[in-house]
Amino acid sequence: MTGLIREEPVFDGDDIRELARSIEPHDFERIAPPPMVWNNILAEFEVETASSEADARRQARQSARPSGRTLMAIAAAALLLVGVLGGLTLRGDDAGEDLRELAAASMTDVDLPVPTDETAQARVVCDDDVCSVAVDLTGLPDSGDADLELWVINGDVTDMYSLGFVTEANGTFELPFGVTPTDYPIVDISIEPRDGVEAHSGQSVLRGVFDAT
Amino acid sequence: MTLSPDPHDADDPFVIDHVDAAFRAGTEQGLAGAYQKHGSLIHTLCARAHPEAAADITQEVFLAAWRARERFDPSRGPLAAWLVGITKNKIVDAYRKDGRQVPTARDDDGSRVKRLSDERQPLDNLADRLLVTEALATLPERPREIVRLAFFEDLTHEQIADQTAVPLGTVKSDIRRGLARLRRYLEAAS
Repeated sequence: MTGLIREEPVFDGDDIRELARSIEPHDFERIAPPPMVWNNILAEFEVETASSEADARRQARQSARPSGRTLMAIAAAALLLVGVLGGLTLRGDDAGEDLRELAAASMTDVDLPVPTDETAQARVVCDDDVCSVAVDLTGLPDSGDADLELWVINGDVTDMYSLGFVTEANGTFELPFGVTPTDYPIVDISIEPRDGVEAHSGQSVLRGVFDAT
Repeated sequence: MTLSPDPHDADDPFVIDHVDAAFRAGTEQGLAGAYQKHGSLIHTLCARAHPEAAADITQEVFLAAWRARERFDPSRGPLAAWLVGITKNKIVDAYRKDGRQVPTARDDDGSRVKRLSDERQPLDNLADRLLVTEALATLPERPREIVRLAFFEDLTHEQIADQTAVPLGTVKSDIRRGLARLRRYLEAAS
């Protein structure tokens, strides 16, 4: 550092004072990006992570059987492709609102603790601002005096979000910010006793895994 | 007005934020943390400089930053500023791709002619203004208010001491450290 050569612009107190004078109230405001931005970033991240993992696997000459993470990355790649191609555009019922479908799952009682004859379809749909899970059940499973609650769960079942109570055969449930079908691929409906316990009861009655559409 | 001292006033400009460090380390949590923390700043800059392509540019910025994360040196400045530097380049690229010039004659919202005396472009000026507000928000309450009074209200050190009932020495020290924080943000994005 010679003190004579300035490699970077230097802001002194006067520069900053002048800059501060030009600041207007709306310079303090922030505009949140639409949820699709993070979904797309995450999808690309998964693809790039998967390809470097795949390179490492090839070098190690390990089994060709893909890991769960790689399968999800493949799903994410398909999801990204959908994004690149402009997405599947669904026409909403009201006022022609554009919705993009990201993923879909068929939900059944296979391997679950509570049997039911009902089945359901779940879809992740996004508009510019928010993504939601839309569920369409053949009918409400019998839950007695208990409630039916909709969840999304991560791949290794260590983290989950409750999206709300299912009270009708058709319903739409908003996904919290940052929660994507890539990270939370399992969609689950459980029977929840009215005991004040917020945690999942373990009594799942319908479950499916999201595939990118 | 009396401002109580902030118990968390450890305003060392060389403390490296843990989100910045996680981002540099290349973890998924680092990427998510960076987006959670800085997504709105970056999208605000994009939305105000290039509204039609804002979402695409925001996405490109985080992916480009992620791929180039090894070039981010947390000791040289905060991640927010490094991301803003990338964002400015992406905005210019987006205009060039459209065969358009980055607007120069007016402010980003078109409402007033740029009045800064220097020749920096409005995009740089907009980015600098957002960085100053971002850097201010990272300061603890007392230094933030003192810096605001010094730089936004143009009060003298003595006037600030009188108005806030903070000792003159503390006012001077807050301003010195606050200025260092603002400068660090501005220079890392230039």
